Amino acid sequence: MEFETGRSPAVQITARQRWSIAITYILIVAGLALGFNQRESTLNLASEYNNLEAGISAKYPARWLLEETGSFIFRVRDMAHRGFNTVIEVSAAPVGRDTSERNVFDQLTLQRSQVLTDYTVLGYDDYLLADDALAVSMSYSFVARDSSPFLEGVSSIVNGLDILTIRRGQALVVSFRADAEIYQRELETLRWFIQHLEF
Amino acid sequence: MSKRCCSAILLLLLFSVKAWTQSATSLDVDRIKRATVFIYQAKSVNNNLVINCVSSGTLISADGLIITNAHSVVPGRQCDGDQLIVSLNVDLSEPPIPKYRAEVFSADEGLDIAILRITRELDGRLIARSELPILPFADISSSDDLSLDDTLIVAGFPDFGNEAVATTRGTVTAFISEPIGARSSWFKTRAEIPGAMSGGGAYNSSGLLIGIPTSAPLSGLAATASCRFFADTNRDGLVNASDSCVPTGDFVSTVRPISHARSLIRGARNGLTVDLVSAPVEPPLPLNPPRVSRLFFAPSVSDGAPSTVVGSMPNNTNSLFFFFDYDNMTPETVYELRVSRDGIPDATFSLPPVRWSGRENGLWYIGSREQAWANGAYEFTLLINGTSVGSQRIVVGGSALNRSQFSDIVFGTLDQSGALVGNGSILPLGDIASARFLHANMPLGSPWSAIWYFGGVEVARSANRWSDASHGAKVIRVAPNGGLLPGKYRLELYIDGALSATSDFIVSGRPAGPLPEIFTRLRHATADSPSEARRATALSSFPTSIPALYALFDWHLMAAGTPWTLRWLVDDQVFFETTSPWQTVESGSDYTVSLANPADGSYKLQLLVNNLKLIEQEVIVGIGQLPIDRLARFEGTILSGRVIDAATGRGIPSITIVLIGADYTASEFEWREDQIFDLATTDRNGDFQFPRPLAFDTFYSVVIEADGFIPHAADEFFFSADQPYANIEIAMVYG
Amino acid sequence: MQPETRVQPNPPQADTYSFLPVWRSLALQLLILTSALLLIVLIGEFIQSRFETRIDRALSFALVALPLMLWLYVSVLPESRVARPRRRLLGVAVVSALTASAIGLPLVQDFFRVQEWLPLQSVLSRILGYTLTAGFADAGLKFIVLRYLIYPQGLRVRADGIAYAFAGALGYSGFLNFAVVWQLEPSWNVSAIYLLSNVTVQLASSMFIALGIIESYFSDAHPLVLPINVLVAALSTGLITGLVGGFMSGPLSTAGNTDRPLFAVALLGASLILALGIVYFLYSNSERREREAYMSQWNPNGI
Repeated sequence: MEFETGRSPAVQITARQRWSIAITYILIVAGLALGFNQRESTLNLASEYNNLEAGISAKYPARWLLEETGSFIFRVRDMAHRGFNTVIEVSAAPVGRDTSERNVFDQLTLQRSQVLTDYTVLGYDDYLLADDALAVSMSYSFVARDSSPFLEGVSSIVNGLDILTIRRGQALVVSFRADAEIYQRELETLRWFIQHLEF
Repeated sequence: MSKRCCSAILLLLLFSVKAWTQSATSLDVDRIKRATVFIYQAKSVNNNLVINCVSSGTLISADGLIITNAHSVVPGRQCDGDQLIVSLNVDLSEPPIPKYRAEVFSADEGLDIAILRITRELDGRLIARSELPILPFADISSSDDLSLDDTLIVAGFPDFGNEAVATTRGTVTAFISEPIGARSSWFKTRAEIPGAMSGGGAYNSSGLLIGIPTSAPLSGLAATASCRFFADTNRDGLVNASDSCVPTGDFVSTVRPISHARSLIRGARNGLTVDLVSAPVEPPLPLNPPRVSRLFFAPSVSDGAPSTVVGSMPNNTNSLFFFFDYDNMTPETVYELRVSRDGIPDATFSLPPVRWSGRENGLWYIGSREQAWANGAYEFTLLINGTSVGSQRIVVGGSALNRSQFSDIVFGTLDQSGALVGNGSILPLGDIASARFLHANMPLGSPWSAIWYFGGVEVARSANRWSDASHGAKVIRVAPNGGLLPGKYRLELYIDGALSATSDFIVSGRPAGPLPEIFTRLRHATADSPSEARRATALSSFPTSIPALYALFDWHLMAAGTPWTLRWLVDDQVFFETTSPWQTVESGSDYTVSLANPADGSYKLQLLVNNLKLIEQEVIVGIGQLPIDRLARFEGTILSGRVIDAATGRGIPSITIVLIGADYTASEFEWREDQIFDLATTDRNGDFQFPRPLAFDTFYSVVIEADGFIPHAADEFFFSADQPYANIEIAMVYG
Repeated sequence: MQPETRVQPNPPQADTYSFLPVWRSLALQLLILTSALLLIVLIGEFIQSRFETRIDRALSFALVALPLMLWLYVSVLPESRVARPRRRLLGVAVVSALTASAIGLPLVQDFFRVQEWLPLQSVLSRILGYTLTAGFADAGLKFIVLRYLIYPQGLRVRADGIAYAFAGALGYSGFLNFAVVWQLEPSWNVSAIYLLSNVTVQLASSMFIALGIIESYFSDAHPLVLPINVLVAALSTGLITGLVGGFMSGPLSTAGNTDRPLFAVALLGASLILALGIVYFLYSNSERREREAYMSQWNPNGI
């Protein structure tokens, strides 16, 4: 048998209880705000990259894979993402006095059309760098698939954005590629990356 | 006593079981199967690919080199396709799946060997060599140690890609010798190998590649068992006899030893391509049909020539060679030797249809040594392109007869003391050529004759009664009017009108000691073009990454059609060798050959005539040693598996598994490329496979991080040598 | 501060049978539910056979309905047989489920996107992260539902707080269970673990919220007692959610790994017992104090 004590339903809550409820609301809002803050700080955790030889320093998202072997200065990839791993690649190429940004983009297009499936240039635009310098960008798309011939690889539509600036006789290209489904969201990462890129 | 006997038997049994177990564990049939590929040669017709030819092949390097028969991949009259499509075994129990396109890197059409390199994705996109995933490949062994009755495992696709890769076991039943192979040009097996498996791999009991099962389809045949119609090539809506058919050979019983492909493989592995710049672009093909003549037998071969000519062989014969002259042959010519004993086909010594590996004309032999020939009346019938062109009989059996014979002819010039000097088969220009031969059982007064030929035309003849001792050596000579001209000569010796010995020699070059001076001023240079190379300074060492290495030489008194050999070695290993008839002017300078983009190494060029090395020179590029290929051997544990969602039990696609190298633990991993041994990504079923094998007895670590799931980090991923394959299941739990 | 209105309490005996007892039915339901789910997990572990996806889903949805059916049968139906039933039980459950659907799940999944960054963090970060996101979201929403549906008008006795909080927890977790089965399509035995996990997390959290409300309302406790209880509720969500995945994920080795559902069940069972034990202890304590106060009021001389 349970013994219960009770109160009349007609009662009103006291001021202390009102305070209590108000503080609870504040606590909930504060907790959620802290949660948002933790999310932001976790997602914005950064690693640093410095390359004295190339004169480049950058910050990139922590726990992204850093690669320096290949036809680029460095590349970072989000290996935790399921599907096409979002990648930011920084490469440099010498340019002549008469080389325009468009020439460099066209060269890239010719190379990529040989190796990327359904490579399509979507358009060109201006891009404002962190130091307010104006760069040019080229957006494109292609289909990526895991290259192992012994597995049934999954194809993904990938959107890409190249940001190109020519300085000191060198074309610096920041290539950003992400699964088309998350491309818009991942552009934030690119903006953040560009903000912290020094060259 | 009986106890001891039992113990001995038990011991023997134990040893045999142990030996069997060892051999069983060392043979990895799955690996052989994984390395086997199916190749389509196709032609683009109105934006469609029409399959012309098919063959099996074997991956011989992790970066996509494939060895196969040349007849089904090198464009020719029968297989004139321009695309090569490579199908791989994704599932060993299923037919192969087309995955890549390949190109012929190098080929020897006569030997019927081609080395392909995978260069493109199936859709035509280029793949850089470095970006190709690491493919399973077969390790190559020497076929020289092979003996009769050794186990042979042949891998290939038995039926035009409709069936899964298959292996067939057999034994080596015979070795067939031809002029191109010192010990064996072919080895034979009685295993039943379908024609479509031609081009696949023949492996020894350790699972090492030792040969290429080879059978050439006969050209011009249609609707036979070895030519199938399976596409509407003429687009008439029907697949029938009016369409082009895809040929394959009949059942394969011959295997081309891998030693014949060594130079091609070495060149391909190091990306070495040789261009005979000064050679005529396209040597003219003979217009007349192939023909053979002068069919005879010899008990042994010396420097490519018959020691003597015989009409019968005694009991216990274990060496016999069938000789014939040939003319108008091409690498696309298919020849066949059918041997019958007492009217019954003898599969052991017969040679099924294979491609011609000799030159356009000359003296050829097919035979075997160190193998017992049963007594009987043998008939050798030679077929070319499916048509009989000649036959010859010989009886084996009975006691050895002391019959008169000449043998072992060698050529040279006589010195002042009357002794024969020279190398035996090449003479410099002069007035007189001498020949020394052995004679046995020659009765006094028996008629004998000698006939000398130059370029196939008789230039001198002598007929005499024998006046020397019955046994010994004799020297004869010829002094043609106008002296010896550069070219090919032949001597035939007859006893009582019957051919008893014959041999050929070459006259070329200037007199200069035992060897004539044919090639001079061999030198090396680097330049951007052949013309610049001719003006460039000769060097003996070159820096790394030169665009091309040129070798140049002068030549003297070399008649057109004289066979010569150019051999190029890197680090003392032959990577290029070609023997061809000389096809330019008799004397000249700056014959040029080039080697594009040579890797670091010691390069030696040798020039030979009649297998005699006349000149050589070595140069060094870079550090003088070939770079070490990390993936030259495919040894270790193949780690594969499946990543599943613990909630559903289904595979999770697109998860990356990071395998950290032995120097780091998972907790030390900082997401740097240099810490990673390899990466694998799951496919749509959640399956993954690390392309590189994990070294045995080495500690690796594994990290798996995927959005939404609790990550995995594990050290001590360790596999011992008895685990060539490891298949694991990894359950991912939502976090 | 004194309450504005103070009603003379009735003699204890008057209310003894007018309200349905709550702890016993709660314990009974949890015992049945946990036993049933544990049995399913064990069957799944030892049989290792899989049903067709269609059957798996049907069984999983049936499991989702199990706690709700049990609750309807054990807690809601008997209310009609007592003199003073808790009329808002169904309402609280339904509104909680709707809140979870409309705000709770979207907030956690689509706004905080916890599934993308929290699972990869360390255990401590995971606990903290889940506390600050899912913990506060769930606890906050369930508190708001109780605040506006039963506080104070539905609270007649302390047990009302527990009963309504239980209803809220079942409604909230009911939708989460439905969403898990709908989105992840787990096999039926794994569904049982998710179910148990959601019920445990929401129940533990709701019990602390209920305790806070009870203490605040019936004992007019310090203004920080309710927020502290909500904080503990959020923390319990963070703790259980942050730990259960790690418990369930087996260690990886060269032999691969498997999930460890029994570890997860053990953790959830322990969490459930611990959370209910704490709440029951504090609840009983406070009730005992109040009862003693009553007694002293009715019998000031202690006779």
